[in-house]
Amino acid sequence: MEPNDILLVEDNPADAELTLHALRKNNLANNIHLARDGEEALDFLFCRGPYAARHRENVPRLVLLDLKLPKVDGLEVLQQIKSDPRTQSIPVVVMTSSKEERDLVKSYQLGVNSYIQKPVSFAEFQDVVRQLGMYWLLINSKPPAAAFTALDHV
Amino acid sequence: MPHGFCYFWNPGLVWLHVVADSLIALSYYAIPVALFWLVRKRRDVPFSWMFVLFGVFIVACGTTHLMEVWNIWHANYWIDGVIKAITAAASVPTAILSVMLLPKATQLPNLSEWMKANARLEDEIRARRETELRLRVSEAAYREQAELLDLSHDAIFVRDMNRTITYWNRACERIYGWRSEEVLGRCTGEVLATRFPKPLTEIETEVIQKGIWEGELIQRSRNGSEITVFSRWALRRDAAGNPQAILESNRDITARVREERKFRNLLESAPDAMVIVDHRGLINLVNAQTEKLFGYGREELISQPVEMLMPRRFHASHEQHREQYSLSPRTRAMGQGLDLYGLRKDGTEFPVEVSLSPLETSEGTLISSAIRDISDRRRADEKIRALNLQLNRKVTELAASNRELEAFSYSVSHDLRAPLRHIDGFARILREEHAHELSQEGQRHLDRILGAVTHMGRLVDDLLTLAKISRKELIRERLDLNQIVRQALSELPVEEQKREIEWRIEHLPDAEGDPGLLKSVFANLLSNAAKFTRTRERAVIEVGSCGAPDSPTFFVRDNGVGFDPKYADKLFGVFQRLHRQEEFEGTGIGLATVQRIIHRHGGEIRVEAELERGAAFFFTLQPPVPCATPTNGEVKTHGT
Repeated sequence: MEPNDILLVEDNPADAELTLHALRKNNLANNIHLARDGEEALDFLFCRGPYAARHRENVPRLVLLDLKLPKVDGLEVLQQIKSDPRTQSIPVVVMTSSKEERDLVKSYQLGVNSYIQKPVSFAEFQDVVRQLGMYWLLINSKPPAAAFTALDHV
Repeated sequence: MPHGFCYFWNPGLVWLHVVADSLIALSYYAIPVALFWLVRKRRDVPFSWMFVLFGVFIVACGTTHLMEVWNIWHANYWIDGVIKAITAAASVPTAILSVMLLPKATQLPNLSEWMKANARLEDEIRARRETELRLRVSEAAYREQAELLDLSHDAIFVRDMNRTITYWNRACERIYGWRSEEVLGRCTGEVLATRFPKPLTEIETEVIQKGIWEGELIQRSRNGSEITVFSRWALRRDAAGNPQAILESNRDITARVREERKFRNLLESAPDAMVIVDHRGLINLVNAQTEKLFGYGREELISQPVEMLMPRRFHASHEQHREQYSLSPRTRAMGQGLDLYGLRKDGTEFPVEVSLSPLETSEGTLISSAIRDISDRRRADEKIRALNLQLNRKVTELAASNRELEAFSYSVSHDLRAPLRHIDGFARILREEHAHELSQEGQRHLDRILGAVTHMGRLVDDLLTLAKISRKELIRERLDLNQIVRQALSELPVEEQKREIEWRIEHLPDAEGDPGLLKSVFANLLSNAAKFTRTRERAVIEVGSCGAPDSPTFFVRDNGVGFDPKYADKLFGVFQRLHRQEEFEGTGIGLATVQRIIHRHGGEIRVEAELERGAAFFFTLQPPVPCATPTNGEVKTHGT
């Protein structure tokens, strides 16, 4: 399997398509995996279930996480990512329609790296996605492999 | 011829006669002097005129003897004869009168009788003196006793069996207002108009039989006021044992009776059943409420053990408690923390509350208990409990509905925004990437879609803000409003910031409130002011305060388009707009938000405006204080 740059966790196909469209527009859509619910996202990250064959070292460089998800919701996914040494170094950006303070608070408490409310305006949204991709994939130094493996021995 | 010739001038004989006659004459003269002295000294001697007559007679006799001596040498026998005639003239009536006096004179006691009489007299005098002394002593004693009676605080008077007043002490004068001399000799009924507990004749009969009577009387004083007295009567009999007079001793108990009546009225009118119990637990006194509450008549309760008023199961413990209470009586509630019950005559029970207090009386310490039927309160308590339960249910429901509301706003923010985003997103993709496939008309429709989506997005956002303000917990802190205004200004929409606006911002006093919410207030009011002055050549926006520094009224005033003041009350309603969307964009939620924030602070907001002449918003951050409209600025004429 190809290494993935971005794991997009989004249940809404329209949102998924718009996000992909925006990423594509900014040439950031080369290696994107789309998970349609929280369970699938966790299976993907922890290489289990349908993703059992996936190579564990192939960690995404960025998780774009919606909060309102079927089965396992976004906050639960975030909690599991940030509490597991194998995944906690992955930058997670919550991208949601919710402006609820408790979601913000909870997300930051769980260790989210960024919290973005999707603007209604697609123009603005595109701009946001462009900046996100630029920042996390180009400007930000990704965590070294040791950040994921060294912790295995802790 | 001198008489000496008759004596032959014999010297012996002559001198015998001379000496004898002289001595006789002297003696005779001495007697009237003695008699005169006697009569003078003893004026009580009877028949004194007799002594005068006798005196004259003796003097005359003496003179005849003197003439005898004279005639020895001189022969004045005529003179001698005249003197003898005078003597005879005096002697005859003297003799006659002496004879006439004789029977009277014989009655005069003789000396021994005189002495006896004298002794008797002396005895009599002594006895009389003693009597007099005794009399004087008893008179003093009597006066003293009368004075003592005058000292008495009780009215004391004596009236005879005809009810005529014969004695009236000073207390009578004071109590009844009548002076002693005004009432002595008058009838008691006329003076005192006494009201007796039973016919007077019966009382008098009783006094005559027993010698004493006592009871309460109502009498009238001189000024007509009623006096209640406790009266004690005592009978006086004369030496023969016949009723002679009655002494009435009356104590004025008017004040006491009044107090007693007051106490009784108080007791009777008390809303609680009052039961007064003696140290043995026997009922001494009850009031009307007791009869009503327990269904017993007063006479059934008096002298009965108080335990009859409570269910049997309390009897033993109550007797014990009663004894303990008697040891250290003090005012307190009975059976604190216990459910107490009263027992009616018909055997039914009812919940009571009892408070006890000791009552010091001349008969010892009594225990007064106020018993209140608390059935109603119990019922009310139960009702309150039920209502509370209901309230709690409502609160739970409310909390649930609040949670629902939260969930709703969450879902509004999430679920409504998502499709909006999608519409916007795909419409935009359509416009950007498929524009060539659309006619001009189609592109214009697409633009309409995009505009509508933008507006709806703003509506959703504003509604959410409003909902959040209602739910958010209010912070109250001392704030520098000037800083808040600066923040609000910096957050004005970019296009407004670029405009040329004359800002007249006064220094504002500190205020207490929620910094975030108050910034939102100013942000809304300032952006409104900026928006509605957009059409003005020279936009002026003022921010200031007026009123007392500790309770200021703040205002934001503009010279914008204003509005018709008849719509002023609509202005703060959600979705209420006074301008068309194409004139001035907006959601109609901003001022509703502002009002809600002000109300949450306990303040008030009002607006003064006129069409085309600007608008001014006044608000306080605490309960209302009257504020005079400031006089500077162009909106001075904006009266409402």
